[in-house]
Amino acid sequence: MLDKALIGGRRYWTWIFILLAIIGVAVLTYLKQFNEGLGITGLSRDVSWGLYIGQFTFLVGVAASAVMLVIPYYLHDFKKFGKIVILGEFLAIAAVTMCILFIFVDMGQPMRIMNVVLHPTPNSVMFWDSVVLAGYLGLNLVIGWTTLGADRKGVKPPQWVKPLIYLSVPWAVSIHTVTAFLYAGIPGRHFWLTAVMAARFLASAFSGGPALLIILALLVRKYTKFDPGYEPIQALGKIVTYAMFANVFLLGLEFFTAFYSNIPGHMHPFHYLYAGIEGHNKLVPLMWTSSIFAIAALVLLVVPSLRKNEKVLAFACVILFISLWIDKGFGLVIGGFVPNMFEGITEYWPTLPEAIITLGVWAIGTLVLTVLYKVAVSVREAA
Amino acid sequence: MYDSGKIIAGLIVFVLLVTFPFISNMGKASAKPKPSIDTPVINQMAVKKCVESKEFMRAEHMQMLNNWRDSVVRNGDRIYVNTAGQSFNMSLQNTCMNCHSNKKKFCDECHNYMAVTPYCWSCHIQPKENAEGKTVLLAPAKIYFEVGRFDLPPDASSLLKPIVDFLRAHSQTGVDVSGYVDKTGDPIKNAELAKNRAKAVRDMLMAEGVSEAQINMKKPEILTGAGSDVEARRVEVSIASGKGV
Amino acid sequence: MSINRRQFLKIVGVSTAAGIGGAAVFNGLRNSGLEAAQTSPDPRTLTAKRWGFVVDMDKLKSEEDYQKCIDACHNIHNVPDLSSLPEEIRIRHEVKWIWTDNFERTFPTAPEDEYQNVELKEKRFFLFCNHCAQPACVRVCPTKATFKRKDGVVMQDMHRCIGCRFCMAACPFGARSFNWRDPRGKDGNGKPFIDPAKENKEYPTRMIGVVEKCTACTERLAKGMQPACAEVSNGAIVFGDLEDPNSEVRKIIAAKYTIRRKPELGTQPSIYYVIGGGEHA
Repeated sequence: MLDKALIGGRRYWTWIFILLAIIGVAVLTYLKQFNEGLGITGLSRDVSWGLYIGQFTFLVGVAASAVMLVIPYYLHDFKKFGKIVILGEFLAIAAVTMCILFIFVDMGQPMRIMNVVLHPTPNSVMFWDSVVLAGYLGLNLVIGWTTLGADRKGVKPPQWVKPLIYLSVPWAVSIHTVTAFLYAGIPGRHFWLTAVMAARFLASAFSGGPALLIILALLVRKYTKFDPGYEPIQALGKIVTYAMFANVFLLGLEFFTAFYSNIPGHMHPFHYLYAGIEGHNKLVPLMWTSSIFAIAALVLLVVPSLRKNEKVLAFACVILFISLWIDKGFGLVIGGFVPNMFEGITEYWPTLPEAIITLGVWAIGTLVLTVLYKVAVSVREAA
Repeated sequence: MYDSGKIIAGLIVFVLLVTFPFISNMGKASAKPKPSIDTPVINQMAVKKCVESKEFMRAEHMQMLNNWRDSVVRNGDRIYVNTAGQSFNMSLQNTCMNCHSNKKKFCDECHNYMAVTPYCWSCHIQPKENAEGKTVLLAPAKIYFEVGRFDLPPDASSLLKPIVDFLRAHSQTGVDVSGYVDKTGDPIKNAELAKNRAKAVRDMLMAEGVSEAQINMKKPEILTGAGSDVEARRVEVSIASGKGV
Repeated sequence: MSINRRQFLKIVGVSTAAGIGGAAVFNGLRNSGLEAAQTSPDPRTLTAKRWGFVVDMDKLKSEEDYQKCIDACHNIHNVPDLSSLPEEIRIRHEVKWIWTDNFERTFPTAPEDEYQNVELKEKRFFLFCNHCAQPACVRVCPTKATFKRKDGVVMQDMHRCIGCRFCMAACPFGARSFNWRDPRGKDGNGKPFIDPAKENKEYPTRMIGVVEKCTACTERLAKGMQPACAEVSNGAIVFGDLEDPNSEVRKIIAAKYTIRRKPELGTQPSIYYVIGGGEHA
């Protein structure tokens, strides 16, 4: 079926070549980072994780969101999602690929990556993260390919896929829980040391991922002959709405605990992110943008007449996605490192090479997504 | 065959790319590596034996070093007892390179031939070697002179002391003595000045107990050394491996 | 036998994977370790059940008292000196195994107290790895590159470190540094970060992309010597076995009032600070 990705019109190939060009520049920039060290990024002794790990954290959520289609369709026979489940599974593949790549570009000694496999360490959350991510990638590849192949032949998928599909549901929850555990089990960083971390992660995943899926479904409808349908997109919109409510509510809970307890260590990261401390306020505009976009998106999504308008829905999903991208892909990670372990402030801002490499990884993910969607759409169009 | 033009062209490009390493090296045979054990410490040994036998080391030194690394770093065990019952301190820098201080002519000989670059040296400090691949065990001493003069400055004796001590303890080791001048003045007179400066240093070395056989008066290629004029008016004394040559 | 392209590619793929995988497993299982009888610890090694430190603030008075300990450690371990870089880069990339800071930054869980004793507030404290008994960094390392030895030292295996920096996120004390650039590099004026005149040729440097920290001078312990900072500190830093009731560290802790950094986090740090405060301590 992969050959279907080699047949395309001029628009398709232009898009592919643009992506390849971006990837090319990013690869060259990565070589510079490989030779000169991670010092060419904005990272520091105090803020040792930044954009790369933030993007990884955000994308794990996007990857987990495929389960929001799988559960209704496979577990509850919600037939409306029949045509677009494959889009969710392929998005998960692209997202997990990007996660793995972001970890790779963040490592100081990437050539030693096999050490994680050669010296397994069950007490390390990061070890389990690599296990569940690899497993989830494998699961989605097998499930997606097999179901799409069966679809192409016009038959039902083979029986052995069913247990794998059922397995992918808790597995999706696990990839995000384990990633949340990377943060939630660290003593000494008050911004992260909260039991709701995993819950927040899941809530933002289940709102951000389907939001992206809505945008992608609308794009697929616009540029191909495959129409996912009005009803499935509306159903997704309702999922996004409820999940976003949960996400904003949980964030509110964090604010309450920090400020009502009045414990300085708990309050300081919020001060830094939303108000700045002692003139250090690089992240303040970003965080407020995130909050305003979140509220605006919620308003647009909650009013049924607005949500039913697909143009408004698309706009709401875009600003919601951006809001979550800022909150989880940036604010969450930096908030844990600023103030530092000595209650001092070392700010962080990505450098140009760092941004280029990040863009390159997104381009690779988009390329994977384009190719997989081309295959899926071609099969659907022929059906 | 469909698209036969493209396929055959593609195949030819593929074959060329894959065989390129062989084509580009055709006719150039690499010389067989000859690792040299000509180092000051090995030359001092009565019976020249390594930690294990030559055959074992050739085949297994990579694995042995990995095992040493894990043993020292992870287990805290630093003493190795070889098959003959002798004890050694497990250390690349302090044991292996102590004897094999000529990395360029020993380690690199085989590694370059096999095109492997072990990354040990990114962290472990290599022994210092001069341009000819001879080990420089001590930093070279530099004696500076006034304009147009070749009498030794008052600190010459203390500057040369580490080298003198080493030479007296290792009678088989030689030292290169090279005199330089700055760019001003008559070149012919300067050549004589450089030689006199070097001789003055040689005389001091001999007065301190270094034997004449160990001293090699080495005329530098370019008499006017690099750097400022003050830098240039000097004699350099550096230890080289080998029997006084 | 007729076979279509898809089946052929599948067979090739599976055979390649099986071949490489099989060879890797075979190599891995081949017995390549040293015989147990061949290696042993250096007989001079100092042993303990739990190594710890006492930092006696009464004995640290002048700038020089602090600097000589820092210099001793950083010189013998070839720690790169990035201080000649522009300040905003130095703050980000610096590598330090032991350094000093004021009370508020050393013990930050106690927020700023405006009524506190001024002398204590401005006093400089030594900060270095606490070699915790329940270290968070060891818990999170995915490759066991950082691990706890039987004698309590939290050791760093620079060969195995993949540079993921999870340990840096986990350490509540900020004791770890990462090599953001080549430690053997040079600053803008060509001055190398590791001074060739002071380089310790008996100890390696590190390379780009690995984490490093105080290792309690395990290479010196193996020769029966005290850690460098303790040796030059003139009694300001005392090193000893916390589980030996007769050790000097235990005697000091029993006799004087000591505090540790962030004890509420449960990592059980092994550095005890004698705060001093005159005749009332």
